[in-house]
Amino acid sequence: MVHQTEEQLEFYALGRLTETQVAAVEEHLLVCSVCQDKLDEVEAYALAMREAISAEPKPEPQTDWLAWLRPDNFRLPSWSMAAVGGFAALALATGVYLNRGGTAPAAPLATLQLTAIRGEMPAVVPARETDITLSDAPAGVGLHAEVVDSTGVMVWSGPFHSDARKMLLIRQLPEGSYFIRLYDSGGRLLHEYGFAVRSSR
Amino acid sequence: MQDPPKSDAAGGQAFEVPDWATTVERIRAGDAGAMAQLYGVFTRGIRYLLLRTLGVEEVDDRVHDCFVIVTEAIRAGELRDPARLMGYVRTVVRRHIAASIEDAVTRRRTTVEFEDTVFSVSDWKANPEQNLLARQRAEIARRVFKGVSRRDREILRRFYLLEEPQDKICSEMGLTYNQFRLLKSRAKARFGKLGQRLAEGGTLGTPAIRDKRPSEKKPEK
Repeated sequence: MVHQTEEQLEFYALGRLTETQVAAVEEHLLVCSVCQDKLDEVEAYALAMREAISAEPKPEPQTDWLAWLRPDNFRLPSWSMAAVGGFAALALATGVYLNRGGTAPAAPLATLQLTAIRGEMPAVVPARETDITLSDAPAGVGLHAEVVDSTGVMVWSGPFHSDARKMLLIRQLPEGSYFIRLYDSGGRLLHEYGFAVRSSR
Repeated sequence: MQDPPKSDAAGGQAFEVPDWATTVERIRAGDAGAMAQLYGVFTRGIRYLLLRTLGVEEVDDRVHDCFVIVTEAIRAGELRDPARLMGYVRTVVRRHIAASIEDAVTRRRTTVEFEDTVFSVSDWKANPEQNLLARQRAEIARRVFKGVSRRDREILRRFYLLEEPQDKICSEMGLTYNQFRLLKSRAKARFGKLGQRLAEGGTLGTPAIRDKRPSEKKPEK
């Protein structure tokens, strides 16, 4: 057994490891206090950074659309242009093939509406971003939401806009069951909601 | 892309672990010392994982429950591969966590009002000290983020918020992997320094951060 690298621990903290990798990290954490302490340190930084960045306004798109032509931005060797063209054709053909009967690609945006007191678990298709409305969320300033998977691992956290009762989940989630926990500005848990991610097929 | 080099002191270094197969055999033979050894080695680890996901409420009972499940399985000869004892322990812990969450969610859905008696998986997060710490960290991270160049902010945003793979970020932003890691490492080091300054002096020193804002630089080839 080897100690976990800081990079592995950061990916674990951010929920970006595969299930196999998560198992390896957790089996090590069971017996290694050094890596437990390291994970706490790395996680504090990574989650704080994600929280801080999510609260910042989205940067304006670059207006200089010819910037990509400048030599210092164009680093590909000449032979790669043919490779890029070939890859684009292959990607197009693959996309056509997949949409004819293979696995559907993730939608760019999905929407979901949830209420806290309800038995079923509404489902949503996999999407790169999911616009979630929590219909019965209370009003309040500084509300915060976390999404955890069925094993309690946090996979996303971010602000909740109580005026519109909405949150934007900027993360493509694998298929499975998830729970949204809504906290007030003091960290008190207000509501919890369940939903599932399932392909439409 | 090549595997990232292991630059942190402990990462990748060999780590001595007991011979779990021997420990399992000793426990099955009724060796109390082996039970104590097992308890001493991984109850802290079980506690650590449970605290991360379920919070502090009843954690000692949960640790004990998991330990009992594991030792009873050992005594009953249910471990197919004794050398993979830690894998089995982890599975037990994960099942316990999943069951606890499912139970908590079910109970919440059957109550109309939230009361103090309703189980909360995140009670420990309501700790005022933890909340203050989280707010301070977020403020420090915000200052670190604001203190780097616009390009570096984009890189950090793509990694931490948009969760793009690092090879995609590197190829699209014109970075080598080492440059990418160096950027993250510097931001983390800055985070640590500001945190230390806050802990020692109680302030974050806003003017000093602004003065040290780096200019836009092209990455090295």
